[in-house]
Amino acid sequence: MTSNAGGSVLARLQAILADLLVLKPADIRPESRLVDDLEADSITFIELAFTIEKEFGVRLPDVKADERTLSLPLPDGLNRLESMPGSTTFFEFLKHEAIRDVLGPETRPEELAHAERERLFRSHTVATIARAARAEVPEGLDPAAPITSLRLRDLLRFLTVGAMAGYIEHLLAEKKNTPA
Amino acid sequence: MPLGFAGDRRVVVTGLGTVTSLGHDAHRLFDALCRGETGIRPIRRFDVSHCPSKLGGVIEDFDPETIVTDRSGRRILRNADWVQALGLCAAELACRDARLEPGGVPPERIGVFFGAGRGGMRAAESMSRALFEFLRDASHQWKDAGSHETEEGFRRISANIYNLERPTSYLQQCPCLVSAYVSIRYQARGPTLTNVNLCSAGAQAIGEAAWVIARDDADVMIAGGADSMLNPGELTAFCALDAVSTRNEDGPAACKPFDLRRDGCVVGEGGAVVVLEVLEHARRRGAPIYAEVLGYGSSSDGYKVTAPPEDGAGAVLAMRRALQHAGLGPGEVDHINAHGTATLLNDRTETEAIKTVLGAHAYRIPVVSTKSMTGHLIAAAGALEAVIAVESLVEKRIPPTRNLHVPDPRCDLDYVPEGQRRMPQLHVVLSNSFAIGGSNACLVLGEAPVAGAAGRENT
Repeated sequence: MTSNAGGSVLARLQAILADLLVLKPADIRPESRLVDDLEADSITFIELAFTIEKEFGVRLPDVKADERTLSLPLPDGLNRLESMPGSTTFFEFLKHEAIRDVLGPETRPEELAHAERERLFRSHTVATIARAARAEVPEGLDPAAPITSLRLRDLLRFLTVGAMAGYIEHLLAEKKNTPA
Repeated sequence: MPLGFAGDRRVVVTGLGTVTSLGHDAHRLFDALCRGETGIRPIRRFDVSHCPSKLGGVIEDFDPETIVTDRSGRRILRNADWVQALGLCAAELACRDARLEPGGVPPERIGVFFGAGRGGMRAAESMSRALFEFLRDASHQWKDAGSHETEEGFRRISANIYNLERPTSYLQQCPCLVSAYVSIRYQARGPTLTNVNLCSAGAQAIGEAAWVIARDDADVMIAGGADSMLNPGELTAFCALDAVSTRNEDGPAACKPFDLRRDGCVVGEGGAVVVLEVLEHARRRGAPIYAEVLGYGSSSDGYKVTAPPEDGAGAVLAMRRALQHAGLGPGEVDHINAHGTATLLNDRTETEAIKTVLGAHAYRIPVVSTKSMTGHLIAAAGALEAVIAVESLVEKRIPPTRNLHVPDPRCDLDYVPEGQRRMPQLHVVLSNSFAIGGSNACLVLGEAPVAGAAGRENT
């Protein structure tokens, strides 16, 4: 579309979002939250998924996150997503970022024992997710509330431009490491 | 006791908005029509060499973003088809004219009724191109494939046809989204409808919207039409129905309503919207009051798809119903804005129908077709002609029927071929719309009620 194929993932994503959301690229900062700051709606997400797939040549595993799964409490929703085959969804990506944020950047979240992951869920808060996404806590959510108080779909409110760029980079790396 | 709007809730017109080949200001449009100016021009937008008609009421050099200037409106425009954009822009102009702000009326008391063309042709063309390129690139795979494999390939493609180009292509092909976008923009959450009855759709939208107000389901209705068939696929297909003029060499003179040499319409495009409002509400907020909707009648020919019955019975029924709802006798009609498409059949049968309804009075009043200047806007035609009828009532003058030079003995009414006419005693106008498929609509419009007047007898 309008993005420069030679630019960084972030710059290309900013150009895509500027077009979809009728904004100037300068208004699209890494910390801008797609829903709460940029007013992305469901049509935006449909178009964004389509454009990211075309622009970056990655497949977004959107079918994994269906209505039922999105309505589940966060830990259950994430567990359900992980149990499905297919590449990483944004939600799982964000969870891994949060774990790395808490336990250290060298941590490999997929190698943590299930019990350890459950313990992390129950002992951390909304603020942890916000920090991992580099996002301001969305209005109406209590930073001190436990992660278990969120539903899976609430994670979309933490979706920042920067986190999205990181996710796309993750998918690009995943694609490289996966045999065709 | 007449059925219609003669009760407590009188329906008035408080806003006008038009986007047409003759400009995007309803008052200037009417002025241009009275001067006999034409919006018919050669089609330059696409290659017309395969199309029997090379002319259209074409809107040139128009950017919807000059009318919809805010971000939320432009987000809508971004996903909208051309027809949807025309409707949205006309609604914007009408609401501005009515001094209606988004959220200015309790949301459940304002609704949206539109007549809309099918639209979505730009998306369809992009999809066709994407499909063509996809198949061209994949054809080597299927060169030697058996019929089972090619069937399977076809099934997979047809299931994904809307995703080939972009996921919002489907939305561009939903006529109902004209109404939806206006509803979103104006927080108009009352009754809504989108009418697809081709040439009568816009008039039906306005008539039915007036009923919504009369039965106290809303205080304000944004009602109108939007259409454009000016694209290769639709225009060529429409020409096959024998309703479009092929006198391309005549240019602006091609469409000749009621003329002996007539051979059909020229297709136009545009959006036209009126704001309808219950009288008390309009007076309370100091809205401009242009005219009153006195009555509306509709019918279906139930005869043939592309021809009306010779006696125009369906048109007669629509006109009689409209007058009945208005509580008016045939002798009280001062002027008719005819459907007047300049087809051999319509102009003859419409003339017959007018004589049947009005009797001798038909010869005493001017009957005008403005389609020779605006083009036939199909789903927007009835709405545009309602706007023109309203302007006539406000300015007490009527435009001519342009291009009528050789009278047809079977069309012997006063069609005002010579030029605009002042009519100081213009009180009641009929506006006719008779569609392919046989649906008919007639709107009865009256001059604005006099301030302080108690009942109809005082206007």
